[in-house]
Amino acid sequence: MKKIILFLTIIILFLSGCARNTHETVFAMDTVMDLTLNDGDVIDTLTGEIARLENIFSPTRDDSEVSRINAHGGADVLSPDMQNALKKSMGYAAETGGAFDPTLDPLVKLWSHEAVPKRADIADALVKCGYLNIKYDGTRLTLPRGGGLNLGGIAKGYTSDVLKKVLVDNSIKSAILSLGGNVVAHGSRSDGTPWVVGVADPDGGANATLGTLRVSDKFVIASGDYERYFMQDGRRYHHIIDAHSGAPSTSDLREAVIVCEDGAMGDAYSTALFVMGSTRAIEFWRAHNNFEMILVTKNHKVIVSKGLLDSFTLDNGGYSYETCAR
Amino acid sequence: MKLALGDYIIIALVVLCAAAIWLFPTLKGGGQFATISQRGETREVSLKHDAQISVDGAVIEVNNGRIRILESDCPDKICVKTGWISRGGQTIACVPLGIVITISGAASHDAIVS
Repeated sequence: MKKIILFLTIIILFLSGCARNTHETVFAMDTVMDLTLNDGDVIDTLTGEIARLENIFSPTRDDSEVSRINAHGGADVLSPDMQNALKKSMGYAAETGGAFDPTLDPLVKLWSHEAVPKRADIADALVKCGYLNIKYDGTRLTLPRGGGLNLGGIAKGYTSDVLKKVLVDNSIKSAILSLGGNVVAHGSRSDGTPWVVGVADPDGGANATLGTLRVSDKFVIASGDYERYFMQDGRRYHHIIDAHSGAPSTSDLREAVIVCEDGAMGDAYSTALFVMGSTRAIEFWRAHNNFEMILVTKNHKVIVSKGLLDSFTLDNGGYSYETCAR
Repeated sequence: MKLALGDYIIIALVVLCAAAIWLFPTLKGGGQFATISQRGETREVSLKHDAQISVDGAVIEVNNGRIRILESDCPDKICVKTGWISRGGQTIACVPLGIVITISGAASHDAIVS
């Protein structure tokens, strides 16, 4: 009899304790981060890493490393994380032909006032931008006069890579992190089934979804025009700048979602593909085998790359579905 | 081994406890409550009663089982643009004001990529 009671007590403890995840909400990097996993100490390590990296990448903090670099027009010594992120950024900029570009700070600042800037000011800022205009030899960084780094298109993805490593190093089997919509689906759910990640519907609010991805051990990262934008004269001006025009990109896309195994790459690619538009994005996908994607066009078409056919379900009747193959 | 009546009662209690622990979040939630937290302070509001709630820098509106941030002093108004939420697990956040509103109950997704 005692054995039965002991057994049931253990089951109760298991159901009420072990199966329940710890959840932490953190305000950082100008967004909300949700960390869900079953280990409070590791959550503390994760929030510590987020704070540390924010002090490096924050464009709004005057004392961050990136702000100091921009104020001094460069730096002789970069922190290891800045070196690493900058190296990756320059690589993705070259690979995407500047569709992702980490040097657009003058334009980002110009467009941050909720109003369309003057044409002359855009032309003026454009000259100070462009990844080919900075000098970086692996240690020493020199920016063009008036130029500035803005790693907003990669900082959260880079951070998600650092957090993923913390999870792996601590032998965490199951965790889901959302860094302002950049999702780290680590391992699987505690019951062994894949994580269920909703894909935002650009027409809905922040909580509306157009479909569902079931993934294990993946980074899922999106860029779109629907979260950060302002309206002027009936037109939508979002926050992703096209380095060629100096204005918010005007491609046929509203959203680009990347599913891959590298957070920094996924972040940079989602920005780049959003700027490129569907035709160039599909070509880019065909030329690479390290990511899968979901593209949502302005005319309500959802284009899903072949590798996601088994994991993606469209469950919003307002969209048509199309797949692309290699 | 024969079980006495007392043993059955204990087993029944244990099973009931387990069930209660499992069901508690569902019973409590079901989209009827929202938690509003701002910089460490948390309050729970019922979505059954229409109301306007003032918090530091913003006005929150409850209407017909839904909740939204109606007005906000924040610069970008992302929170206001989020609009209404009504289903379990949905959230609204205002980063500049440090506000998170979450509807209780099970979420249909583990996360939303956006």
